[in-house]
Amino acid sequence: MANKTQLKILSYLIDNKEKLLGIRELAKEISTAYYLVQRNIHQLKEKNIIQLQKAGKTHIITLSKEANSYDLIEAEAFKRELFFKKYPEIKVILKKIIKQAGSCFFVMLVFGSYTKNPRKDSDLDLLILVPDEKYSNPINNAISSVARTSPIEIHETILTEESFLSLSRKKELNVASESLNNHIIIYGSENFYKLQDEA
Amino acid sequence: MEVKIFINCKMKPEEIRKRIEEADTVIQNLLRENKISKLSEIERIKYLNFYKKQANLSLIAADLLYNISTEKLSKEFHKLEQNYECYLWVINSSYYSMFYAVHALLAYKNTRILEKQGIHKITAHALVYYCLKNDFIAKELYEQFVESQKEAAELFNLEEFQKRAAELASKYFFEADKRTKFTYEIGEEAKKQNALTSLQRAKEFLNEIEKIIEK
Repeated sequence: MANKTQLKILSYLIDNKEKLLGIRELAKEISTAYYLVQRNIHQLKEKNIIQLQKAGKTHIITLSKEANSYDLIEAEAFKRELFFKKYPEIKVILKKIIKQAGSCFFVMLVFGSYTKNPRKDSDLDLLILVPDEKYSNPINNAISSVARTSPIEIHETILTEESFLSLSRKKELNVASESLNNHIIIYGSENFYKLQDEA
Repeated sequence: MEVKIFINCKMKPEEIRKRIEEADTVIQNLLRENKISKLSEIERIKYLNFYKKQANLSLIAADLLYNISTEKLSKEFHKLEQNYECYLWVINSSYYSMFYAVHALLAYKNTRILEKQGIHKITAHALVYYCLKNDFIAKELYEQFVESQKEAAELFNLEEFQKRAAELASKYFFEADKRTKFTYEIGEEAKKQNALTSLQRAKEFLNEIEKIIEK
């Protein structure tokens, strides 16, 4: 079980895979004391969750390829809690969708502007992965119904597992690659990580 | 079209104080007369879910009516003339969504109003008594409800509307002079804008109430 500093470190690394930061810069980015970050970085390295690569005088921190998905899933849950704390109005909307859609989908995540810095009129971008095409309609209906009572515009993308995998293998920027890089997993973290491994 | 509703509270502190005093008198009288009941835990859940559902259904209706009034394809689908609009009912359904949302909030606070006479005014007083005066809700939220109630009352004369609807499906549903204000004096674009403001306000209001209820 990771502590709060470790969860903050992992959440940051999940969302900023392309950034190459040392301990000092990372501490600044996550607004945490240097000594706390340093101590926890070493603990995470010992568990093989992150790796340190020497670059000049600093050590660049990245997620380890051998990182156990369970460690990262815990960080995803931490990200989700922070997200809901920041945007309680979105929690209300998403809870309604999940309730109405039942078991039509197996992954739901928020991507796009709400994971970064949304404007006041930003849409809520949702990616929903369904096991089969036949589930698209019921989930679409559930979202349309909730959208009628939502003060925020909802923009949903519904994909089957197969089309998500095929999109994520393409080089050009698309909804799958964008969601892999920046997301808040609302539902189905384990399924999403399983797909990520296959992507 | 962007419409932002929640702005700073416009009501002055003395106005709020006056409303609290008024609400104290009305609600304490109703409590003495057993016209407001305390709910058991089972009743609380039952009424909370009932009013929440009604609030959502009314809001869906308001949104559908707005869509029918503004979208060409929607009119074609329902075989309506292109100049068909029902903005008046968008405002009414939006208000009712807020009305039910307040009752859901009251149920959340273990309270149910039994008195039917003057229910709309009592609802506003109860919102003050149970939620505003102890800072359980923001003043802006109360203000939005009052604003919406005022608008709906001007258009429909709510208490009259209820009374008469119960008696018969009268052709005099709402007072003609108040109706004319909306139907004749205001242009199409202004009516559309009014309806959109009401709708967006109700959406934000219900979301705020659900945030409190589901904490």
